[in-house]
Amino acid sequence: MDTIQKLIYKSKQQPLVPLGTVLTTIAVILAAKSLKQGRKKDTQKYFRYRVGFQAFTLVALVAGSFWYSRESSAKKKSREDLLREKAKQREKLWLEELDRRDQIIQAKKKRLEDSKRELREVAQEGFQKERENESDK
Amino acid sequence: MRGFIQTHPFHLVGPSPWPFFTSFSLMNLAFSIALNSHNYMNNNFFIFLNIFIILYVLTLWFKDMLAESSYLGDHTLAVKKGITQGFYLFVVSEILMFASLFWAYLHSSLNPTMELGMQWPPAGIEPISADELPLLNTIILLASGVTVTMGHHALINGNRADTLNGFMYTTMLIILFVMLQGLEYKYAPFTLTDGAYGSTFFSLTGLHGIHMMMLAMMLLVCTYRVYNYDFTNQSHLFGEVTMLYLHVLDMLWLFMYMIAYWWGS
Repeated sequence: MDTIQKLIYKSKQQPLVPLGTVLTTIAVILAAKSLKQGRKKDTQKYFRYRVGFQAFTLVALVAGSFWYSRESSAKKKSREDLLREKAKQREKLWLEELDRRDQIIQAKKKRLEDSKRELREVAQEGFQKERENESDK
Repeated sequence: MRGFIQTHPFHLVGPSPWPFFTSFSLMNLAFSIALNSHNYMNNNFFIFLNIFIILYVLTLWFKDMLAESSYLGDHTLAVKKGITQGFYLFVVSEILMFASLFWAYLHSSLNPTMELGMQWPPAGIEPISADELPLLNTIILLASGVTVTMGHHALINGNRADTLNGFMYTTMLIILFVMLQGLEYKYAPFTLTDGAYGSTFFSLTGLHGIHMMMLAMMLLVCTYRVYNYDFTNQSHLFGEVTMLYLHVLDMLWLFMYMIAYWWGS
């Protein structure tokens, strides 16, 4: 985000701050005008407006910053939750993967056993036939 | 007898050496700053000497003016009107000067160049956080606005004690502001030579700081003049322009705080 986007973003997020600044400026201009025309009571009034508007701007600025920083900390919390969930998911997937690998190993072992037994049976048959042939002679 | 009667309301000033001395000391100050910045001198002695001479000459000049207004009665309504107009033109010129510096700041920050890393604050610059010392400074200025308005209210209603208190508190708050600003400069993580950011930041806040020092002097003189019974509840032009000046500078600080500290960091 470049500065002009940030400026527009912040003005939209906290429109009270630029507004308060403009009101403060207007109050100072009116105070200057009444001072020049010698209306001392009005000058006093506009000085008070100036202080009031500036206080308002400052409160809006600080309160706004506080509010948005709090919201962002809530966002941070939710993001951490999301990360934790993802970690759990990853763990589950890893366990499944381990299971799958175990199954493959088991299947390989079983196939090995099967082929061994088959071989033994074939050998047994062979020996049997040989023995039968010898007894026939 | 006819020669002693003044048939117009204006103050025809007599011959005075002070404009001449002020011009020379200002020229010397400009020369010593320029020569110092370009390494023709290896110390600040002449800068400080000339600042001292300017302050001394201005003290003498304004002492003459105070005598003319309070003791000789030369400041009639017409003269005061002229002084007010002159002060307003001065304030307008100040605002234009600040406008040019704000322009420079926004010119550099709204479209940061390649050399700044296309970002603001520029790459590698650690800006001063807006919610630390600058916030306290803003609150101090706001408080000074409150005390000066209290002083003004007391002044136009003829309450001497509260007028004195108002001006005294305001002077102290402005001096406090200048001191805190000095601390902020001392511990700032960047300097005047750190590219566009340092230049624009320090020229903006530094010009404001110099004006604050001047305002503190003006408020001090105001306090003395209230103490010396120079002001009445009807005639207190110097007090009025000082207060207006304070409000204008506070307003400028609000803009500075918003643009340079809040948006800029």
